[in-house]
Amino acid sequence: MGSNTVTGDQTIVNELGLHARPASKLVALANKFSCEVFIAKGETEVNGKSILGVLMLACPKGGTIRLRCVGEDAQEAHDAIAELIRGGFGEA
Amino acid sequence: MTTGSPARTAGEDTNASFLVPVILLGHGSTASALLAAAQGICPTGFENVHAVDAGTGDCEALGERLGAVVGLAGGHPQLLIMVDIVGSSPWRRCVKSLMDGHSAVVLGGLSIPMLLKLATVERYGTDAKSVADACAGSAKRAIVVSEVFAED
Repeated sequence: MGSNTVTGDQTIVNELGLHARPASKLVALANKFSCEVFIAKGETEVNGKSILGVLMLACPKGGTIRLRCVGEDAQEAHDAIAELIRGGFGEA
Repeated sequence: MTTGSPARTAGEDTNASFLVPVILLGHGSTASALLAAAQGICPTGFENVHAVDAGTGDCEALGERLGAVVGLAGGHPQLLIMVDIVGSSPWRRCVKSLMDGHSAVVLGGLSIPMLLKLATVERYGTDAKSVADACAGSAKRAIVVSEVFAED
């Protein structure tokens, strides 16, 4: 496993928060990268490549999550996922 | 649990090019409804997943439908069947249908979290038991009791 780690905080902007369909989009995107992806809310950190893990965070609109990517393509993964979150997962 | 003929064991014969087929079985129309709901969340990953609705009471008709779907699934020894309630009449019908030469891993407690895991778990080159264990683990972790308080 590579030691390259990229971390950043992101705010959930879409109305319904990090519900099932956004979680599915996030996980599908995360799985395109070889690096490990972790999502944390408060003290709880989950596997960003698991829909159920991401859903268990129950993050509402306005909530902040910490995105941590570990591996060779961590920067690319971080930037792509951050962009998806900032864009509200394509929702209103 | 594993049920069926000992001549074809569900935990063996892992062919890397073969996708473990899955049958969903539930009371009323829950199997197809849960599958549709899971596909609404996660559109991909449900190849060779077949829903069989038990409806209400007609066990003979259910047996025929199950037999047809088992045939669609290829009658492969890696067949995985997810049922809503172990010990229920649809489950008994399912076990009875499998006694005539097929073998399967049967997983109880069918739910959307279980299906979301099914959509993402590797089903190529593995065995039905491994897929069932992964789905069961996710479904268990998804059961959470929490208190929600109204905001001030």
